[in-house]
Amino acid sequence: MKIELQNINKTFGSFKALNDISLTIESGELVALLGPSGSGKTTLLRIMAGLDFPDSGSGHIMFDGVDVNTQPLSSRGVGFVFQHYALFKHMTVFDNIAFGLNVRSKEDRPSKNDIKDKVTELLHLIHLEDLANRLPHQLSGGQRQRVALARALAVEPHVLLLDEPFGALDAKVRLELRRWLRRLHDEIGITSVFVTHDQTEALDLSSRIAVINNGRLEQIGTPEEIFHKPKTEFVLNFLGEVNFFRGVVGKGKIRIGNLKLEAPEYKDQPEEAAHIFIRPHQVEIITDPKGKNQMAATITRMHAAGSFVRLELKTETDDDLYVDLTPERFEELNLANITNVYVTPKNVLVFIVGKHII
Amino acid sequence: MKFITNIRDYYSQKRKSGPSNLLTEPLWVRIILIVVAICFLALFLVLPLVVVFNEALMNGINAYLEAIKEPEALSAIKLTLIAAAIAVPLNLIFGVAAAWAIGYFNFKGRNLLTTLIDLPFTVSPVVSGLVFVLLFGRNGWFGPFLQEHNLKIIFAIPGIVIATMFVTFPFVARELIPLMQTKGTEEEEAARSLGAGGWQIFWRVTLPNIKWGLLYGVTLCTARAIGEFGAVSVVSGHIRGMTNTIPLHVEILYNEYNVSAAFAVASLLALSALITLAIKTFLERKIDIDILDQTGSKEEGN
Amino acid sequence: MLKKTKIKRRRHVIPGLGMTLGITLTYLSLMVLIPLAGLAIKSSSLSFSEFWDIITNPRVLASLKVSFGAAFIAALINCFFGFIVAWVLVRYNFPGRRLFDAIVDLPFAMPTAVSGIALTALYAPNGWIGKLLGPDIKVAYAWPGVIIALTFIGLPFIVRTLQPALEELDKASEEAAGSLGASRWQTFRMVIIPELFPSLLTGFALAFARAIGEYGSVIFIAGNIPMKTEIAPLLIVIKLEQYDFIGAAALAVVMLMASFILLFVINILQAWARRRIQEGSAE
Repeated sequence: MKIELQNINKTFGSFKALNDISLTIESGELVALLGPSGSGKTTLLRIMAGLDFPDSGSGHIMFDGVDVNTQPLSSRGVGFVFQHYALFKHMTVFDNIAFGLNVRSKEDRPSKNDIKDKVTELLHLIHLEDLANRLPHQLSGGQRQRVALARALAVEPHVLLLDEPFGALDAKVRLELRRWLRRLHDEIGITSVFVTHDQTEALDLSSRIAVINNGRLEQIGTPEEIFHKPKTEFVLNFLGEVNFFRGVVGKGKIRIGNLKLEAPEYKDQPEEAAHIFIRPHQVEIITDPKGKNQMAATITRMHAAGSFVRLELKTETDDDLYVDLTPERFEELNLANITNVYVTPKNVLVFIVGKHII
Repeated sequence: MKFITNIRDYYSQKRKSGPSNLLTEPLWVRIILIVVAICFLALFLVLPLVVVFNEALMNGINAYLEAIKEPEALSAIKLTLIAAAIAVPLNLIFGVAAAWAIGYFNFKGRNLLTTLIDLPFTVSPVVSGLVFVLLFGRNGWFGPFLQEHNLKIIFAIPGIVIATMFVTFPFVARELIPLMQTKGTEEEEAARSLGAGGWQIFWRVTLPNIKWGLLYGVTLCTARAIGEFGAVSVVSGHIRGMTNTIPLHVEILYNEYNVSAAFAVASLLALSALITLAIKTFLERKIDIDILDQTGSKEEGN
Repeated sequence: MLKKTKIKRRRHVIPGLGMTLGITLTYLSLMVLIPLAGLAIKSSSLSFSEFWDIITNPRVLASLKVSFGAAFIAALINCFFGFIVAWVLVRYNFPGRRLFDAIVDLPFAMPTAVSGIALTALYAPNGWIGKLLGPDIKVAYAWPGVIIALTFIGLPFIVRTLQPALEELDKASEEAAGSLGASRWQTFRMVIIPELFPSLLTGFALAFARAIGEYGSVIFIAGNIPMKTEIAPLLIVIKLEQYDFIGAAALAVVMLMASFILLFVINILQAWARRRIQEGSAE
């Protein structure tokens, strides 16, 4: 099912939680709402579900072109998975999953046997056939999460909404469940939206990512677009580490201190102050100066950080610069005994001050 | 997948729509519930309170003051205050000691001990009075001994004090035990590691942390000590001007059909009950803030 | 017990276990345990058949029936209205909410004798409510009066037990029920009530336990007609005034045993209710 949000606003007291958000989610997509805590992403998800409502008079929520704004959540056909699962503590796993079927009115309710078949099928799907009669507190966090998911799927929703689905789990279980959820989504193809503050989770799992900050939609796009072509400084900063420089852009050049980089896309523009960002793995390091496109820097600290070596440098412009090198390149440069080096950015991202910055 | 294919069949027949906001009840339900609750509270709690003051002032303010200034009323007030002044401090010391032992240490029988401390709450006030009559009365265990030495406990002031102590026994302890259990001993351990002694830890670290809970327990303890009727009634002998507490004096006046005087004296007790409620509400807010602070700082630590 | 704890004390960083536990046990024994043991010993001077004769005396049985029956009905009334009061105080906002919240504790704070004469004045035939009810419906000096007094006494127990449980109730599980298609009434019946049930039962037991022993607030309004509205605690007092110490002690033992059983039940219920709450917030 296709979800369209148009100009959604939400105010709590004097706090503007959502500011004019418009967003379209295509049928069968798996979309991440990514943002820091307090950004409004959970509120947006709850509004889609019908657990919260936009400010009166503002915006539309359309499911397959039908405005569901006035529809209560019970008739939206939405499956919601809560952050802390919200399982019914006094019911067994079986009864939790069957709940949504049991509360239907008599005419709509499947027979007892059909409910049993359905729940058994879902238990199989979540690999918990043997735990049907357990109570929620007898399950591990990951198992609870899967029960919550099965419970939401039991009512055959056309949309699955997940609020921080892996937030309360430890790292290993989180990774397993993430893979499992992606396989599940591939199998049943249900339109799904999940909220997360973890960028790796968003990059790993989703077909598209909507980055939200301070109640605004910063950018929506595929993981590649979001990571490599961030539209705002916020998106750039939120998705991974980045080095920051103040510089000047225009007349076909990018200048940081004495460093000059060719930038044909800015050929026709006058020079303007700009914020320049460089990701740690996109810096070339050499030990001999060649040509002008280099900046002198001093190594202040270095340490192996797993699959790469992290260098901490002080540039000639007195800025801090982090650089990640592969261990092979580090060996090749023989940096262990050298403190003075020269750096060249392989790729930079430029934001002209006052233009793209909100 | 099988269960996904038939979504459309199912959702095409739209279900009966519930209320627009599923997290609260429809307005009319809310209004009915609020009205029922208010009426119930007004009928059962507010009205009896109003009637006390109404009856007390029925014969005018002079009659009211007259009833309170009567020597027997004054001596009842004095005796009540004496009993409270003895019972409350003793139960306070006991309560702090019990909370320290039970709240801060783990030992066998701790739960049993907590239950035993609660015992006086579940015992009927009349039975509480009776046990002391059976102990110290003329035919009681210590009866002969007391008579020999010309000591009087039952139908005398000591009996009233002891009965008051019994019924107010758990108040401070049961307030402090859960408070100190949730608070934990981290701060005390830190103080210990910095070289503080036991008393220093108590006065400088523990007491400031539990002061509101302690006052709360003392408030409830005092209120009960002033107002206790059943237990005190059994041991007092109702000797006017001698072994009458305020509630007993109210009873005597009432049974003598001196209703407005009874209510005049009762209004003093009702007033003290209102003050108790006010202090209690104030302290509850303070305790809530303290608990929030503590849990808040603990979460930060995680 | 003392010996064991002394060994443990050395392992503890915090001092004072020996002293505080000593004070606790001494004071507890002197004030509570020995006096109550005295009662048990006194009544054990009776043979079982003598004891049985005393407590199966029609007047005694009638008084126990009045005390337990009225306490039970009052606790039921309180379960219903107390639930509504707790629900409204926790869930809704209305003018005067804080004031009503504070006044719920009035029966705790008000001396029972004062409550007793105030309720009597209200429900007596010439009282504000008594007049409204007319001469045909008798509340004061009849068994409804006993129930009214015991309802008054028991209300705070139910409300104060339910309130924290209601506050701790996980809103998300109500939202989950709603998102799965349950109506508000279904959510209430299938999710909220089962989760609050242990607390409701605890509140009921507390109110019941308090009401069976209640004396001061009842004796004024009850009329104290033997075999009809005479409560067990009053009968103990009457026996005492007649110097029937043995008879008073026997009846007191029955009351005390009921208290112990209830105390035991309440402890189990409270543990159950606490577990419910903690499971909910364990994440």
